[in-house]
Amino acid sequence: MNHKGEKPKGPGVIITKLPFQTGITASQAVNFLKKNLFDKQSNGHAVTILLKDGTLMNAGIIDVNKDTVEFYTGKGLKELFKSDLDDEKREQLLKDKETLLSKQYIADINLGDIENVF
Amino acid sequence: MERIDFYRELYYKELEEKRSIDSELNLSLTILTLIGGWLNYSLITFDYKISGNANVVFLAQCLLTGVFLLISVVLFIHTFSGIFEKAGLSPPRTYLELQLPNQLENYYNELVVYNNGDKGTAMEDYKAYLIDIHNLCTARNKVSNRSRRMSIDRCKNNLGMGMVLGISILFSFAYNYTHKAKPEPQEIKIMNPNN
Repeated sequence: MNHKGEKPKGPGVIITKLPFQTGITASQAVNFLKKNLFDKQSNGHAVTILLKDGTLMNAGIIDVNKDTVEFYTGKGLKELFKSDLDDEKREQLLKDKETLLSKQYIADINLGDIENVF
Repeated sequence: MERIDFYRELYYKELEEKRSIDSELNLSLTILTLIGGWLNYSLITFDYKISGNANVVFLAQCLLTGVFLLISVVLFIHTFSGIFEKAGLSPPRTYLELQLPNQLENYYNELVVYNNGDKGTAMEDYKAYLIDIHNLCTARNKVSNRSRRMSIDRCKNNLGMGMVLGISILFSFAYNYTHKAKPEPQEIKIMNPNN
């Protein structure tokens, strides 16, 4: 079946906070993300990032910079780490960053947009 | 039973638990106010002149009640608010809920368009999305509920101890009442102003 364009993104969730709750701080997010860097060798586990607008996304964290987080998107994780893909082909794919970006296999977001990580 | 029904049940169970914790907060606040008020009243109205030993026992009772009350207040604030999270003293306890029905319906319509009008496939995609989102919300809400449940239960235990000690203050009052100095009879002399 030929699909029309990109698969639509779900509407996310409604975030309910407790009084005086501000969400996690940038440094708490950085610590958590650094602890959960995606390990390609062991097909390391992905985290779920909740953005301030209620969007939820699965992410394999590649790198945590000063203000941004680079990660494999849910789509990227599905395509790049599927079991029938051989290691050589995967390595080739992973080297070509521009293609990965254009196909939305990897993306980056600002730390400030993150509400929570789990 | 469909998978979605099972996950929906779990999702609502966590939301019910959240409501139950919130209502327990109201009860705890009432008891906190009552014990605080009773402690304040006791400290003001107690007659400290009667006996030194009674004073020591009374003040020890008040001090212990105050300690349990203080711990309860901290635990109450911890359950009620996210104030300790900012300092990193508590895990983040955000609650997640499903989006509004019209947004979910819009998403279903977008999936129908994406699948070129194939409603069957769109419904399969939609169900898969709903299962994912229910599970994510349930998992997150469970973590938040567990942390809040722990602190509200501890708060209630401390309030229980505070109540017992608060009631024991009544014995000090009873002692005070029974040992009250009786007024000594006074001799009144009536004098004739003409003498």
